[in-house]
Amino acid sequence: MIRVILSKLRGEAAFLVLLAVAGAGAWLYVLFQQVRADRDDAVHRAEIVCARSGVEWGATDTAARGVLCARHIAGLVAFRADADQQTARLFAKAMADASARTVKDNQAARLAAEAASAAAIRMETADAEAERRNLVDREWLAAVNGVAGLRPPAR
Amino acid sequence: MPAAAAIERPLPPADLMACAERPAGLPEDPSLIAQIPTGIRAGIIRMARAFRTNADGKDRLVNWLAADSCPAPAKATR
Repeated sequence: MIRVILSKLRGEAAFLVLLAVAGAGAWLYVLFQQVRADRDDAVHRAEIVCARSGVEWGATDTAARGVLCARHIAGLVAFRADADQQTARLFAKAMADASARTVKDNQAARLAAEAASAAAIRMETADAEAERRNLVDREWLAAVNGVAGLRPPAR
Repeated sequence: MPAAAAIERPLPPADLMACAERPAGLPEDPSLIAQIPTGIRAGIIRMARAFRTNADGKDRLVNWLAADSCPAPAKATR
């Protein structure tokens, strides 16, 4: 039985080879169609990405396709990094400036308050003395100048 | 994109940025002796105290807006 089938097949060997080659060809053709579809899709997506970045994909020259676009996108990335860095630097400087200003003003306020307080104590004493003697003298005038933070006239 | 730019805050007009005026005060001459009623003495003291408060405050304000524009307050009284 098997032997009969084999002997018949041997007669049709050429046809069988042709059949196998045709099958392989058809399979390759299907594969190629899938690959081409994938490629077209990928190129289409790349075109969309490039258009979003503001530079055309550049269709005419196959070798130059996407070069300008890639350069542009690299530039955008560098710009983003640079902007972030500058921003951080500016914020840090602004915070340091504000802090230094506050420290300086606190110091000035403390000095002024200390001086005013000392002058007020001296004024109290001098005014009590003036009240007692019913006379205003150099000490009282000097104490008033001290309270006002003023110097006496040169002469 | 968080891009920050340093902006110079505009300062008030120059006449407002002047340091507090501190004229010469009362003469401290040993030969000057006077009788001043208590109410007038108290008034003079009030004005002197207010003068210092206002002048020191203005100098601090100007220094806050433009650092080291006005002299720092004196460290201690005489």
